[in-house]
Amino acid sequence: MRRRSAIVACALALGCGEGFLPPSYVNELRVLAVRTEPPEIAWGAEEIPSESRISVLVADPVQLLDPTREVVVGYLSCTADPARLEFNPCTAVTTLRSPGELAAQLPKELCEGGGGDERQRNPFAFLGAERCRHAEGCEPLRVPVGDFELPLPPPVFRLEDDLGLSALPANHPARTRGHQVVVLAFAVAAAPAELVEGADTSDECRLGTSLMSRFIQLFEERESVMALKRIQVRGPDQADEPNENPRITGILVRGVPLPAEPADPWPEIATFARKQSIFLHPRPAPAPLDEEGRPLHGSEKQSYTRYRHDGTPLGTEVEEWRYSWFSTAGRFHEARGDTEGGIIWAAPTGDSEDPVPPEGRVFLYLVVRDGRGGVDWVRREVRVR
Amino acid sequence: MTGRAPLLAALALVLLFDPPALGQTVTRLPEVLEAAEAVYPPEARELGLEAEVLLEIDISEQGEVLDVRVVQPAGHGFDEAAVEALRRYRFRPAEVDGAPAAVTIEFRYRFELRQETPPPPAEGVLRGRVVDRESRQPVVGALVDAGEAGVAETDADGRFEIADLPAGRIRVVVVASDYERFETEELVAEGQATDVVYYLEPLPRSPYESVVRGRRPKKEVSTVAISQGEITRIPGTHGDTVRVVQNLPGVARIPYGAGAIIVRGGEAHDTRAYVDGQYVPLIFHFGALSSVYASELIQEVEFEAGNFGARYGRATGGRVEIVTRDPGEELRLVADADLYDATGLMETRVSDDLAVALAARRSYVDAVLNAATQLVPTAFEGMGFSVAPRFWDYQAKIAYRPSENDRLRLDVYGSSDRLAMTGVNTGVETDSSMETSMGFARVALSWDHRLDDSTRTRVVLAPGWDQIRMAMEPLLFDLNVYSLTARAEAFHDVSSVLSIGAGLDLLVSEQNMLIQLPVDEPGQIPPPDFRDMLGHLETQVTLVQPALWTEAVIRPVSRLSLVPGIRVDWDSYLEATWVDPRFNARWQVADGTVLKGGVGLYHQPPPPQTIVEEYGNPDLEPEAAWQYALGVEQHLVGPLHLDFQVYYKDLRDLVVVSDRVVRRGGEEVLERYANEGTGEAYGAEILLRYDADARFFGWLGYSISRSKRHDRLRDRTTPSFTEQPHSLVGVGTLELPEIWEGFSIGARVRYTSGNPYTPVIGGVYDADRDAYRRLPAPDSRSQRLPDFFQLDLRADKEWDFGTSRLSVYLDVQNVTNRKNAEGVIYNFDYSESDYLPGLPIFPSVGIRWEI
Repeated sequence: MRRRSAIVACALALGCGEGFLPPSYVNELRVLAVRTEPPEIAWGAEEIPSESRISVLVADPVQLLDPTREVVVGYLSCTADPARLEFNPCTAVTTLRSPGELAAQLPKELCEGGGGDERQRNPFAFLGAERCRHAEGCEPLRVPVGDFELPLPPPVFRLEDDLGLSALPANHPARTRGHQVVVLAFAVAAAPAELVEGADTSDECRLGTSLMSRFIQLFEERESVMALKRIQVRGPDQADEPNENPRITGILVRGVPLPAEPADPWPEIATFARKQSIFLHPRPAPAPLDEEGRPLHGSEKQSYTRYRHDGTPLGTEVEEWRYSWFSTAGRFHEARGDTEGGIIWAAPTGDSEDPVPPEGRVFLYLVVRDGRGGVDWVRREVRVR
Repeated sequence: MTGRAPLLAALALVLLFDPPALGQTVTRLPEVLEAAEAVYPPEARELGLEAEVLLEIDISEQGEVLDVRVVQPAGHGFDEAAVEALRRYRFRPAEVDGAPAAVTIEFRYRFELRQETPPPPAEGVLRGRVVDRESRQPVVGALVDAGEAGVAETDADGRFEIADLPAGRIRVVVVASDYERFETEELVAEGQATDVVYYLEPLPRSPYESVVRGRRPKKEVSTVAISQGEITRIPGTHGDTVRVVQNLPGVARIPYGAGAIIVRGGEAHDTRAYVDGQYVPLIFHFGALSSVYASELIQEVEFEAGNFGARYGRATGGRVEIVTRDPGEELRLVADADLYDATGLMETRVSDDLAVALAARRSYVDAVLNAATQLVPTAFEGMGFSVAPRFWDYQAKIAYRPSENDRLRLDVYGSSDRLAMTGVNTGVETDSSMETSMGFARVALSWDHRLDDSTRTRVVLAPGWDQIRMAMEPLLFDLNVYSLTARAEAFHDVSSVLSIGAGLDLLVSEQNMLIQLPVDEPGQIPPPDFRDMLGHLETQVTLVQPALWTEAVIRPVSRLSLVPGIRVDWDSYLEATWVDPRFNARWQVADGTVLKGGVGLYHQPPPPQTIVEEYGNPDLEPEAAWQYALGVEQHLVGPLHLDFQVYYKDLRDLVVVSDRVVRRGGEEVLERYANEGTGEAYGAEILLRYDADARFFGWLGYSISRSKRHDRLRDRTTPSFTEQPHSLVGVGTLELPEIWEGFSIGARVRYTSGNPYTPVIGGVYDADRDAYRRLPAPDSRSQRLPDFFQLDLRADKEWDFGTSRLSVYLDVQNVTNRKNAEGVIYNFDYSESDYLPGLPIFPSVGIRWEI
């Protein structure tokens, strides 16, 4: 798990405290968010899907300096048995600090989906892989196999049964609290071709194990990041409305949204002078409406029941959305915002400690989380003169 | 030098060996009833020599001088003359708990020459009392010298009278053992009596056992007793007697001077704190700024790093006990203030058999923080105090002596610390509120009764209340304990060879607990929101912890004492009984040389948080330790003494974190904790001390130690979390020469090895929380912080106005502004690290006024 060590003086970062760069400053490969759509799944429920698509927000500003650099992301899920007190290997400190141990636990055949009768012996599932570009985002990976390009499945977790939740005794906490499937995303600075070196391509399941093992091997050799994400599996006694991802649609500057795509000429609203301080606001999504045009919820923020560890209800709460801001240059006055009130971003000064990237290309990221697994994000490019 | 007569002065009543009995308190030092004047050696008189001879005297229970030995000879015939004179002395015997007892004392016999001239005509009277300035107790046997006009010795009430004085100004010199020489001028009126009260300044006492008044007989191996007095001038302690314990060998240095006392490689909960025998849950206020008991009312602080006797239990480490004193006989008012708090004290004797004392302290840390916020507006940005940090404590005492054989004392004391903040970032909420409060109160009624010359009893009943509350919505830990401590003890001297003691040590408590904290899953990355793992426990537990103990002191031969003891404990919550045999021995193999050793078994209940249902394992058993110690005490030269000890602790059944799944109550549950830990601690401690004299006192302590823990579940051996292989502490205070009258300076220097810590080798990004989770290295405590060094200085200045005194001090911690490492901090993804700096240079000032 090697990391680039780029230390810039603390002058760059208000609030960094002890000379460290703040988490909002992105100058190397980072995973800024992982989203599952939907954030909550269930087996056999009409209004709740049983599968969830996983996507990741990767930033790798090094690609602006080295266009040949690529980043691949592999997804592995762990589904522990809710009826047993055994630990999930994807959240065990012993395996996470030494992913090689995790690789050693993988079965010979890792099929997509995971779970099922084999869960007790094999909680792992290879969910897929993606290729990520700093400016464009991620897309399903195609790996070269001989003369062919083998398309890998998009990362999707599929629930193949109810994990035994309905068979749990009446007072079992998982009947209300539900259960969580853990997804590990391994983001590695590597080319897709490197993944298939020595891979067993004879069978789809064996390929999954080969690719995942290779991911983990490269993970320990290259610049890399491991991210952990949980998918909520609804318990049979849960009665709240299904959780949905929060939504934002952009970043506002003086009430005007920053452009979502590059434009020529570059718009003035997305161009800033060095040292300029700009007030940025999230651009909320319009409230969802039902078939009759009325707001679907009382507000965008959903109400839900919070449960104690033993499954007894603690009370009903309304989601608290939290906003995380990131930039590849300049600085934020705060790394996180707990309200939609916006944040001040100062464009880079151009000093050696606060450089302006090539062509003045700066990327801003805004991630919103609902505090119970729901995520959304936007990425915007701006220019600094 | 003819024409000058000898003035024989100085009663240095330095108690060396107390009566050999258990749990005794020396209530009265021997007093001179009949003094014999030494023959001034002719040769010395001819040469104009003056001298002081230090002697050691054995005094019988009847006050007779049994033996006299010269400790510090002066030559020129002084030694022989002093011995000859002392053999003709008669003393009022020392008393132990009100009864006569044999003792050994140190005695300074001073030979001085004075001019012999015919006395002037007698026309006036000087009379009055001589009292101890600190305790307001009468000073017995003080010599009040009015020059050629006359000399008087104070009686048992400290009173004296010199008649037939010439009218006019006369110079008066008062000398007494253990006190600074006092000089003044008095105006004697013709035909009238001049009434005076002289307040003598006690000499700085050694922080160690030899000069402490009224302390228990020395029979344990590792006892250090710290007296209140000049010890309060040690830099970095803010004048707090109890904090001095943290500077003794065997005591680990705690980052930022926090209040825990960790001894000999143990844990904080291994050492138990007492006030006059009653357990107290805390001994220091916030951040160890002050102890919870006013230093002015402390007689001494007893500290045992290990091998304590059977009278105490429920701890596998050490013992700290604040021994408080009776109120003084004279009215005394004290006001003391420093940067953090202010203390007020009043004590007086209401009647011959009744005395009272009141003291209280209140912090103003809140005001200091407000001032800091004014200076640095961003210091607490976003946070606010709904209750600014503040602490207070109080003490009230009533001592009543209905008869010579009885003493009743009522002690009421307590402490409270509280802090509440808003705007706290919990990681899931940026504007949460936090409140913490800790406090206790005790009402202790004690009765000491002497049945006859060889038998006495002591009964103490102390109802109390403890509270610990920590709340950060929705997290809550609220513990209210209503307790009754009862001690019933009896001591009997069977013969000169054997003394025995036995007692009941009972603690009954009703513990009301409300806990709403996350339920950890050991070894797992926690969920993104701790509120999703909240457990809830509301319970009331009545806990009965009785213990019976007995101990004997056997003296088979002269100067050898063997102290076997046994203690039997029962714990109603654990439903466990344990038996702890203990043995200590002291052997004075030669004058100034004592060999000592001890072995014993010690048990303690597991830490409370590990045994409660839902959060812990109620099936845990007590932790245990075998303690072994050997040592030697050696008087080197003059005031220099050496104490050397080696020790070994064999730790068993230690509580470790368990991730096993077990069946409890028919269900599979996480075990969470198990008695699967073992350990050992061993080391050596050297204490070189300079006993207090009029100018200097101090000590140099060095300890070398190792402390390991073995986790059988993981087959892993690690150092204990405060293993500090090397620790060196030197403290000293020096009274400057007279030209700097009233000035004293002090220094403390500390060097210790850095604490071990577990490095973080990286992080995993928790996408649900937008934060990295730390991944600690598999080898726990595999790295060590840099060594710690700190120099503290202090200067005191005192103005004496006769009946009142004013003193101020400046105390500067870390004068070199060294950036010691107190921990490790990491950047957001744990890829970079830095040391967490310790206390920077930190000056503080204080002022004290006393009448």
